Amino acid sequence: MGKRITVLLFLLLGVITVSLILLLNGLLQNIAQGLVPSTHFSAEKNFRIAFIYQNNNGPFWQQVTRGAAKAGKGHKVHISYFESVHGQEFQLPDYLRLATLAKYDGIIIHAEDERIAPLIQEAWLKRIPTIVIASDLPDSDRIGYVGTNNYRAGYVVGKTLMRAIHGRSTRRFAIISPLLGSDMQTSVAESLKIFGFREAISSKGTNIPIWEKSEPTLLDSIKVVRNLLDKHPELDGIYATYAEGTVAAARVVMEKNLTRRIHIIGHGDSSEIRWYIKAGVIDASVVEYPYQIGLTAVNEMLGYLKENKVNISNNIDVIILNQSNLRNFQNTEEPRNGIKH
Amino acid sequence: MESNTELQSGRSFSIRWKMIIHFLVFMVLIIFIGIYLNLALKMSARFFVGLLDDSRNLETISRKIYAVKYFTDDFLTDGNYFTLDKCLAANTELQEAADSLSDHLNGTDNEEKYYRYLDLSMYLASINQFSEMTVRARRDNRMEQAYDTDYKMTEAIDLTNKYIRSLMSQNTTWGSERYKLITKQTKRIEYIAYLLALVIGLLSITFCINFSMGITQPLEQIAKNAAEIAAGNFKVGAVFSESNDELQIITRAFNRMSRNISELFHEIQEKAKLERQLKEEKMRNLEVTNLLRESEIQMLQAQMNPHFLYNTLNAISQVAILEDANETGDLIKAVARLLRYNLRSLDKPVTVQDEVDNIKEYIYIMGVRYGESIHCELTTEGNLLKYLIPCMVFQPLIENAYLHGVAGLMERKGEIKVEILDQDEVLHVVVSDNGVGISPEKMKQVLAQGSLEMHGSGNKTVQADSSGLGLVNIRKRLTLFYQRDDLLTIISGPGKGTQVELKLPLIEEDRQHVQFDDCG
Repeated sequence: MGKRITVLLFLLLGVITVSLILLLNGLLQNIAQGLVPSTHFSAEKNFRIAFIYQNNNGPFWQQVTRGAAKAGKGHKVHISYFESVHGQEFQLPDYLRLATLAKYDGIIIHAEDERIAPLIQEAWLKRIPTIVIASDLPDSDRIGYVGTNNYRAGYVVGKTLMRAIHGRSTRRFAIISPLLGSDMQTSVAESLKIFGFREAISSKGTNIPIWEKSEPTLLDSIKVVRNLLDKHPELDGIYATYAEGTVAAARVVMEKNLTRRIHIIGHGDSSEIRWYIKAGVIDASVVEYPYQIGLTAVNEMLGYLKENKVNISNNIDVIILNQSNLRNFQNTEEPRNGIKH
Repeated sequence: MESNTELQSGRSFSIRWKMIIHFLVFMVLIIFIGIYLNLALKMSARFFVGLLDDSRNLETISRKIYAVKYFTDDFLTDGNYFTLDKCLAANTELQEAADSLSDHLNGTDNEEKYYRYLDLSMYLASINQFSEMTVRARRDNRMEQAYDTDYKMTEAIDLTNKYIRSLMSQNTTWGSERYKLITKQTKRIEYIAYLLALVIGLLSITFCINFSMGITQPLEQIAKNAAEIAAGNFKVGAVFSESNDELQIITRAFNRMSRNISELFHEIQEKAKLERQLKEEKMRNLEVTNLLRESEIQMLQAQMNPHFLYNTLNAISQVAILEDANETGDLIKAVARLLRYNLRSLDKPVTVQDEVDNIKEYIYIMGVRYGESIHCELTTEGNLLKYLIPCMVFQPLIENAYLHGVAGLMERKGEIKVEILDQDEVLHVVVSDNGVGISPEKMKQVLAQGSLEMHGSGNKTVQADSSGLGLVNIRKRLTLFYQRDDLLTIISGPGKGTQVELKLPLIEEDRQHVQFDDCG
């Protein structure tokens, strides 16, 4: 072998060897550090906030927690998320108890079950402030509420439906709302919506709307709507207070070819709902802004913890999504030009 | 000697060191690989141990919680101090567990985990608190309060137990996540270690090939060359070695040796060639000498047979006369007589008469040959004819006059005069011609004593047209005969003819005791 080639080959291979060894060294160090790490995060956070919710509407709560996390960034606060899933060991009240025991600085909880009110009181007695979100418990010891004004939402929907069938002789409406919580109760938020809706349609001798409740799954909702329409084919409008119900109503109405007669107003924003709105099956849909809810909730809590200031009632705007403004609202996280309260 | 220093001063790297270093280096490298793989393995193991530790910790805490509950409930029911001690002890243990938990907290980089464990420690603290409250209430006999706090404690314990269970499964999740990371890293280490092994292998192979070729190639070449040289072919190329070790030394030495052998061989060849050439020359010389000797012998032989020739000539002249070719016969007789005279031994003196008779024959023959172109006159005085002179003196002079003087004359007739006179008691012989003369250089040659060569002619041996005795010869013989040196004079110049003069003392016939050596 040529001497030059040999020398070059040796050098090349030697360099490769050395670099590989260094690489290995580096990797091993990495791993070693990984096993005995120095805490990368600053454990010195001032506040600990418990964020407790029931995950019955995945995308909704995803946005809520995102908003909450965003609010927490930049401040010395750690937010622990407690998600209760239907059927698991820890339910909402359990988490509340745990948070109280663990002496959190503040609790943000999705209060859709009235029975957590005494637990909120307990926490308050131990000087732990609680903010409720998404639905309110006005009689509890909560320091504030962040969420949609459900009453108002229902009211606006009612008015809209009334306008839609203006001129008809009879006005027959149905409401379909979800059963939530570990014991399948109607939540306060739902009740408020229905209450508002009823108020809105109560004038001029409208019949009391039929109130159907369903489990918050699409299948069940479709069953319930079908039943409803079978029993009451003379319906003029349906108000679905949740997304699956909205979609169920739209599907069944289309199936029974009653789109011209029955007006549907629902809740939620998804591509399917938008499609139905475009097609005219659904008149409108109420879109909430969960991101805002989470954001505001944490901001309020921080405000209370730092400066002892809180707004007792924070109503996040909603958007009534209909054919005309469909294009303007592309899944933004903050409501624009929504209904002002 | 020179080669030794030139190798050692350079980068000489003996075979032994090469091998040692090679083995050491590769052994170290392979050990490295082993160490790395081992370390990676250990780290994986450590990780799992950590995981197990987590579980064990939580188990322990669970048990301690249970102990607290058990003893608190016990104390609540029976209230004796024994149980109280146990209860307090259980509480302390739980507290310690909670503290150790917070130590553990500082060793994690998982933020979520940290806070979960923080919560747990808070729960444990609250359990402790409730238990203590229960104990105090019981001791103060505030039963209702005691039951109340006990209930709260039980609630908290339930929750905490559930929490611990969830933590355990959470630990597994966290653990498997961490494990994925670690697996990724250890896989990388594995691959790099394999790559390293491959590269080291290549390095090793390269070295081995280089090393072994550095040994075998030169050796093969040397063997081949040695075979060639042994077979007699000295023109082998140089063996090539760059390995800077003993092989190189051997190779260079071998190259030098084969070069030397080749050179020596060539030298020998050259010498042999030269010797051959010399031999050939010698042979040629010998041959020439032989030929010369042969011709000398032949010539001698020829000279020895002149008697035969003389008799034959006489016979021929008789035949010629018989055939009425009288002129021919006379000519032949003259030649015979000339020949006979020439055959006389040169050391016996003769009379002038004899000489004159001889040159008469010569003139007669020359007359026949040259005819009108050369005219020769002979003048003698009668009473001189009895004196003695060495033989063959006149003929060569006349011969010279003919052959070298007038033979070459083209434009005029050649004249030769021979006078034999008595002058002042001296025999005066003059031979003159009007020929081309003798140049001064030739004169010098002729007059020089030591030289026996006639100008233009060869040596004392056979000339084309002469009897073979030159002037020098005559001079020598005259000197010997008369014991005097001033007897012969030549006057000549180019184109002016030649005159040869002899002044000889008179010696009578009866003085026969004077013996002279044969000259010439």
